[in-house]
Amino acid sequence: MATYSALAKYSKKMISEIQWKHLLPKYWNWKKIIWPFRVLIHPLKAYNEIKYEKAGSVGLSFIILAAWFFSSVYEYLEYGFQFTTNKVEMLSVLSEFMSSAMIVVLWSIANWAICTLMDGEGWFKEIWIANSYATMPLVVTTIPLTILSKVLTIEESSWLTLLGTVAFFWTVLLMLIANTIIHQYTIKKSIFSMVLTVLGVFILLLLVVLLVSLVAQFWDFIEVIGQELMFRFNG
Amino acid sequence: MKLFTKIMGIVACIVIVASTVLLPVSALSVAPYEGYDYDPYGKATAAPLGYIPDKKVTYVDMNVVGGVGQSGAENGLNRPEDMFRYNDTFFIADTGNNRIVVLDSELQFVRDYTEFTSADGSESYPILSPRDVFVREDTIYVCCNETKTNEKGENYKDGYILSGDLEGTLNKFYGKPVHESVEIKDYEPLTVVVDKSGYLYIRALGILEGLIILDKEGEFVQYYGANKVVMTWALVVQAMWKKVFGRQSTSTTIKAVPTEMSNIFMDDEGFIYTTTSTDTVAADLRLRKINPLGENTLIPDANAIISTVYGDRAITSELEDVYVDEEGYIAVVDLKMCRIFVYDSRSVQLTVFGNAHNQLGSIKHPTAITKYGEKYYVLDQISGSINIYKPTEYMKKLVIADKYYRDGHYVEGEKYWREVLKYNSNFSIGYAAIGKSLLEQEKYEESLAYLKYGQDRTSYSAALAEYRKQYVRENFLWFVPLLVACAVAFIKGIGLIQTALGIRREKQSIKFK
Repeated sequence: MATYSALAKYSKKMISEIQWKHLLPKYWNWKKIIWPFRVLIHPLKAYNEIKYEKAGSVGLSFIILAAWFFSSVYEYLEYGFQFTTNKVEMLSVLSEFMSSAMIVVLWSIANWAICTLMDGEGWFKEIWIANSYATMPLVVTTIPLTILSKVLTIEESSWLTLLGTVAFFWTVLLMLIANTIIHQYTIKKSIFSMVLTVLGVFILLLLVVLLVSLVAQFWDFIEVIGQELMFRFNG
Repeated sequence: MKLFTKIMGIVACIVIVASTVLLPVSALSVAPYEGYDYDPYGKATAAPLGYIPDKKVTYVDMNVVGGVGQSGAENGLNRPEDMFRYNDTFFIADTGNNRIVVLDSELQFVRDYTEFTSADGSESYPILSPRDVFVREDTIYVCCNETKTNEKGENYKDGYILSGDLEGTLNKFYGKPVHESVEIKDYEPLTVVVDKSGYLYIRALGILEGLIILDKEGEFVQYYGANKVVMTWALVVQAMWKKVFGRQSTSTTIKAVPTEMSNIFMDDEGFIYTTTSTDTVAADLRLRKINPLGENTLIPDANAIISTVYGDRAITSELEDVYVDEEGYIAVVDLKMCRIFVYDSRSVQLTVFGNAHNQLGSIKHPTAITKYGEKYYVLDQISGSINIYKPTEYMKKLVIADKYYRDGHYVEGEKYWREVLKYNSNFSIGYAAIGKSLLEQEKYEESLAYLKYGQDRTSYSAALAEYRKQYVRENFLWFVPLLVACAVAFIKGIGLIQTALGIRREKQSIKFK
């Protein structure tokens, strides 16, 4: 009982310490909020600042990933009718999440696991921030491209493909730069570590699937034992 | 208050019971099946009934003379396999009674054929378990099947095809095809169609190379129009398992050979339609219209063929027979769920009807379909009867509207489509047709909405291009200032951001504390 009251006291204190008025826009640090755009314009400088001057922010990285997730949901729902067969009923938020924000989570874990072994100098926090910020091109282009797709005809769809491809490769390039600077690698070693990271992501996925199926089977096992016991005791 | 709620509860119960009991009865009095069709995503949606049962004609009603019914009754049809309409006459292959029965337009017995004898009486062949009958230019073609025993005592099938005129005089006997490239052990012809120049297209049991073409004199010409072998994932996976576990242990055997067709039909223009019943063939190739090169020319509508029963699980259809009328409407019989799909010549699905029960309008085992006037005649093998279905008002309107649509007269057909949509607001082709009509009338904004409902993406794109042009032209006056304002705001905004980031004019990077 005592622990519970202590916990309640602690959380009460935590809540009372939050300065709610700082959520108002006039207290926002605009410089910090638009700082991620600097990654787009001056990637080398920006990543050096993340590495050596602690310019990145974990909170902002979550906001960027959330923006990416929501913009990909928006893309699914609102993409030009002439290009897709998407339906609102068929939208799966989980699969949208897996194909956007979850990639960064898996990538960061795999990259951290592999680059620690490869003499990388990055911390997990740095890797996380750098890779979240590297998705900025996708965050910035998804919504404008979706709006553009509403006014383009099927014959002009190559523009969408072109811009989408540019955004994708821009992101890949940013990730390469981030990887190089955060871990202080040469380009060659950086590319090699990224290839290994892709493999690592697949291994992670495999582990997750294995774990899920194992838990499911274990749960089945317990359930069956419970049923057997019920049969035994009920006669 | 309590009493009041109790009374309300009783009233509600009565209403619910009454609605569940009474409403289906009134619906079933028209047809024992529900009307439905499929949306562009392949999902079954409610629709009005397209065809409703008119009457059921049993062999007793036909006044059939001779033969034995399946249950042993005298004067009947025994497991009839096929029905063919030639002008106003119906020919039924009465398989169990080894004869061809001829019915008039009222489905009354006229005569039967049990054998064909040549004019001089020197040759005579019996009609043995006929599987198919085909008539062209007053000549009857019958697929006959006979089991013989060779000198080693083994049974083998030796079928033949007889052609004779309407009087029962033998024209020609077509035996087993003989050619150096043909090697057939058991020859069992199941379906025959004949083209204008007298070539026979024969579908025989177990012949996987395709249809056998015989010329007028009975000489083998070539095989034709086999199903393509499709490399599916199932085949790949099976090949892999075979590698791992050896040949014997695979329980399911999917063969990498062309699948047999389940029936063929020749329309008035001489095109051959084929159906395939198994699901080893891709869904959109189970119904084909093949050109002289043996390729499919039908626009596929895969959704409908593989489709689900209304509101129920997905069941692969077993296509049993196909009939195509003069206007190109295709009717396909599904043996599995005893229903008939109706398509127009562009394979737009119009309606589905029929089911397997015991009421009027239900079929136990449909084996053949034909159309006479605007009614469909379906042969039921088990009861040896013919079910007649007549179109509803909805179907008649739909046919008119669809005709305008097929011919490309979108504007003229618009009002008919609007009537059809009053009956069936789920019919997506109707919206597409109205959208195209509005596009022709240059009402682009409305057209976009209708084409979206109709899921017509190509036309939507075309309408969008026109609408865009129109919109810019009409709003040009404030478009230019808006663009200028946007450009100014953009440049200013960039400048502001640069100032905020501290990268304007000064080269060194900003520092965060």
